[in-house]
Amino acid sequence: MSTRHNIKAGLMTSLASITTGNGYDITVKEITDKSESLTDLKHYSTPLITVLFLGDETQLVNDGNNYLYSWDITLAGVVNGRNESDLHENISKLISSLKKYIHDTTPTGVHTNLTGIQFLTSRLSFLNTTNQVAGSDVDVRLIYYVSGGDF
Amino acid sequence: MGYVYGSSDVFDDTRDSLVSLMNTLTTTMSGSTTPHLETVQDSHNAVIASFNTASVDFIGYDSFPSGLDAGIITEYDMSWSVRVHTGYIGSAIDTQKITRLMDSVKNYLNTNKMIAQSSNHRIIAVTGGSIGEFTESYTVGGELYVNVVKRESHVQE
Repeated sequence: MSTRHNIKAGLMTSLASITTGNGYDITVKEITDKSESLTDLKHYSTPLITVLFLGDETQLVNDGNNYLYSWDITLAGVVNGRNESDLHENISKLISSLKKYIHDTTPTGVHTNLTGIQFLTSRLSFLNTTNQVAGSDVDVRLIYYVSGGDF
Repeated sequence: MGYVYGSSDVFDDTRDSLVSLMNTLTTTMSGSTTPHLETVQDSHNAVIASFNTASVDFIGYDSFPSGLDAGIITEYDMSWSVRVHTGYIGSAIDTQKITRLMDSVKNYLNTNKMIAQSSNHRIIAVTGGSIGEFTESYTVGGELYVNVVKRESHVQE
């Protein structure tokens, strides 16, 4: 498999470390890379993180043998809550947990070629009291390198 | 087949010598100095995969006639840049860490001015010192300038 594919797999595995037992505000129940409609979200356990890998990718450095890339992805979170106040609290906990994850994680621990994880922005993406779900987007920049053409 | 025409490879030789010197510093600092350097690159246009890393690159040179021997002796006065990299652009610019690394580099180069006595070149001065972002490597860190002189005899053909 390509370096890019393995980084993707490594990140999805690593996000499962977001648990209250590891010092986070919330325990993530499920991680997926599939974007689902609001009605299909009921098939997942929440808090759910959907990793959206189709963001901008830029070549930062080319030294003739190695390439350094930035890869902007979105960690889209979904939480349940009984009411608006509950939803606000849970989504806030999810965002703070993701920020802590970005701050605390050693990138090379996720994958050898992943050398940087940077927080970019976060925002509330939706809040639906009828279905008792809310979502947030946390934009993250991954920095990784490839050697020998193993893209 | 050689890398250059003729017997004089002043720039390659000096780059290799500076990189070698910086590698020795890296080994010396490891385990005894915090912060310390992990690796050294021989170009600023390099993919840096771990921090803290140093890189060495050529800026320019002047040359002067320095006398007659079997050939014509020329003195090469070269400017080199040594950078220390502490993170990618977007990460914290840790001024204290950067200045400490620059201090280590400055001290080491100033106490090893005879780069390689057998090759007859030496460091004249370690100057400058600035902190900023480096687009060639997408990193933040500090930069020092190193002036190196080497005398070379060019035998006439």
